[in-house]
Amino acid sequence: MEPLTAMFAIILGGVLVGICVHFIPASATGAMSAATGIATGPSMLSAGAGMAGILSAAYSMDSGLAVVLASGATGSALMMVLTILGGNIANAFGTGVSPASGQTASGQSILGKSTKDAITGWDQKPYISPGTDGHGMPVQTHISGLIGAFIGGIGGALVLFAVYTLLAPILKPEAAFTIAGVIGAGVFLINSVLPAYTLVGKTEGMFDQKIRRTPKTLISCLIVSTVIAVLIYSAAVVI
Amino acid sequence: MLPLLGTVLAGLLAFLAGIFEDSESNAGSASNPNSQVQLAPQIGHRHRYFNKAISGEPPANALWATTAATVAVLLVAKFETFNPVYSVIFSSVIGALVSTLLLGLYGIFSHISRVASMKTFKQTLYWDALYSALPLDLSFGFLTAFSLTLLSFTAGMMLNNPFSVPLIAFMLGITIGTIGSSTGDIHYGAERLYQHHIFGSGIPISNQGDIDVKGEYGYRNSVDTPYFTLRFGATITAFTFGLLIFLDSLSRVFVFAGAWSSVIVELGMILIIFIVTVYLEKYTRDRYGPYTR
Amino acid sequence: MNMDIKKLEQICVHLRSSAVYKFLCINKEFTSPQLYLIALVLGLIAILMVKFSHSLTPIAVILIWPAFLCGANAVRQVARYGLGTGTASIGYWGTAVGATMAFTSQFINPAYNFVSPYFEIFGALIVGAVTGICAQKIIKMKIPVMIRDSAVLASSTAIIAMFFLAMLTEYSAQVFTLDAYITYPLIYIAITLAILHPFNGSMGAGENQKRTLRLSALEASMTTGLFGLIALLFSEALFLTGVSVIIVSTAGFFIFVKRWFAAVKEDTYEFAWTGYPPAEH
Repeated sequence: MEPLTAMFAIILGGVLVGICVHFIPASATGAMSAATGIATGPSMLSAGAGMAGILSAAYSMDSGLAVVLASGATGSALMMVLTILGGNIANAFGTGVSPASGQTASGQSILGKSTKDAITGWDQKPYISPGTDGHGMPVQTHISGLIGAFIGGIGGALVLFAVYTLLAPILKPEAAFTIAGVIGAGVFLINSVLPAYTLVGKTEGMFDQKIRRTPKTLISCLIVSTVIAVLIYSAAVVI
Repeated sequence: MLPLLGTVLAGLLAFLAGIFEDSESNAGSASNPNSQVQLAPQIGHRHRYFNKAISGEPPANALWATTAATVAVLLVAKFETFNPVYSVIFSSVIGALVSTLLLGLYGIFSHISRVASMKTFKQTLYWDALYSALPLDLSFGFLTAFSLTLLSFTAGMMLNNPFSVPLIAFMLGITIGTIGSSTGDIHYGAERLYQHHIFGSGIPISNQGDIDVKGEYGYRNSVDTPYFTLRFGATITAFTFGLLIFLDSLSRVFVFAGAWSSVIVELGMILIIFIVTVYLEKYTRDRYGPYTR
Repeated sequence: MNMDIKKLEQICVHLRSSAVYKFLCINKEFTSPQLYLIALVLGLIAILMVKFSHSLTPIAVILIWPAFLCGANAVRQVARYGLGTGTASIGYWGTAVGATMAFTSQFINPAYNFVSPYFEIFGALIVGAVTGICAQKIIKMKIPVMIRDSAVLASSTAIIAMFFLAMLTEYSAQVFTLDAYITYPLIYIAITLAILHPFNGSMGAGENQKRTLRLSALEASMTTGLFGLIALLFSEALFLTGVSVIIVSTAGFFIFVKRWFAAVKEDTYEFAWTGYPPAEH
């Protein structure tokens, strides 16, 4: 990869990370079974998924760009699907509730006024506890989480690979791997907090009304990633 | 042979790390359910919990794991000439001790600071509520840091991860914090803190903060929490994190398609787990039925 | 006699309203620009001292503590408005900007070494300001201090990270056991926790800046003590540096504990060894 292409790859990776936060359903009050989504904040959850993806992508660094991206995506997605299964088990047998989407039950999903799940067609309204905003992870949010994890994993792995190619000529291999990993993690964390400002603490994934705010996140992440990529590029190549 | 042995060892260590991480975050109320313990004095329920509000779980676990791993790596470089395996275990113990010291200091300061900010709600600072929960918290923290350090060494040395060991520990710390916060905390937040509300319902917004102040006998303390959540919440965290590390490493043992074999195997695993989750949702909907009053 | 007392009174009134007195005494709270100026100047002196000679590290450690206070104060100013995303995410993000900028200093061509630390610190300032501008103008959060405090937070974490990097890597003796890059994750996460914990740990209705800043000074000395231990183990050339940093940090720790606990004693409702909370209905 050429250095200039690597700089654009860092920008693209940062934007993908920013977008993935909108797709992954998360809510802080889910820990009290009071809201739909995984029971953590959106930025921390995306950071966790991204770290699993970067760890997974690191194993296949010598095999070329496509394998690295695919490993990163599947590593993140594996973490996401296992977390969703664990969360649903905890809700089902620990608290005794079935997964139900609060937004869909109140008819505010982005697909219209129906209170049925978008993928399976199961009715959400009779199954939420009154006073809460849903609980657990129904199938539509599950699919949205998987898509988000794929995108985030690709973004993280892309940044990792790009920084590694920038550093490989100047440093020895072990140092290049580790510093690329640290900078990749840093860019991931910077870009996963910006959407959290937009989402204000909870989101239900791609069927939530808040998905309409994605263009704002896209522009902000684009600007911030560009500045960072230019600074990294100038530090590595120019000076 | 070595990657397979490394996979099994990594899976076992990840399972243990999951149990200890969730118990540590419940022995002092941390992360998301801490908002309930924080809300309780505001509505009049003065409590005797250990209000350990360090930060969210991911950065806190990353700090304990990274500290332990960095100290361990520096010590291994000095002791390596004696015996490679024993030097790793011994250095991990010392690294985990350093990180436990940090955990203890951060925990004490956050409890005292949080209670000091609750003057208007008349929350008393009980010293024994802090000191009786602290040894339990520190022991679980030590075990978490110890198992995460050993796991990072396994991933670095036996599974051939190109990152250096402290960086692997940092990433595993963030991941285990996220998983522990998403799965185990539901059992603590929705079930253990609200035992006097009915089973089978989420906690409505109007009831939040109305936590249990009295327990099976006398006033509830933070020592009583891992006693309960260890049976279910910790096991789920362990199951999730352990399966993640085990399946991820297992997929690299296959070599039928060159470099793409691990990707294909992982996609298959994702599909199987997705189908299991959909069946689980169908089972709960049929078995529990709609919400009745 | 009366004339002298009248003149004295006039001089006193004049002094009390003068700008210098206002600056020195009347400020009840420190503002972000004040703390940032102190942190920037003292931090740059500390980094240049350590680059110049390693035996000056114990004094430089004392000069880096204000940077921690500046960062913790910036987190406090932003998080007080109720961001909805939590204090931890702001600390995470601020340190990610500062530390990423600081780590880029490690692959600058040695011929251009005069550029660091200025490039990293002002680069972090720019990135923090750009993020604040995006958050304020594009995402339209209604927080008045967003731009200023994002820039201050990112830049102060860059100052601290540059200091730790300089402490661990710039030494004249060529005896070393390991390369410095294994300490990068620890630099990142230790600064994150030290910056975000003071406000997160003191959050509540009765939180005030005095107690938060004293807690932040306490944790600054803990963090520098931890890095003294790392330096001690890192190489034989840094052994004396590490021991002296640990001694200075421990002394600072005990001094700040006493000051912080005095503030706690003023603020807490009641202390008790044991007992039951008062009966409710």
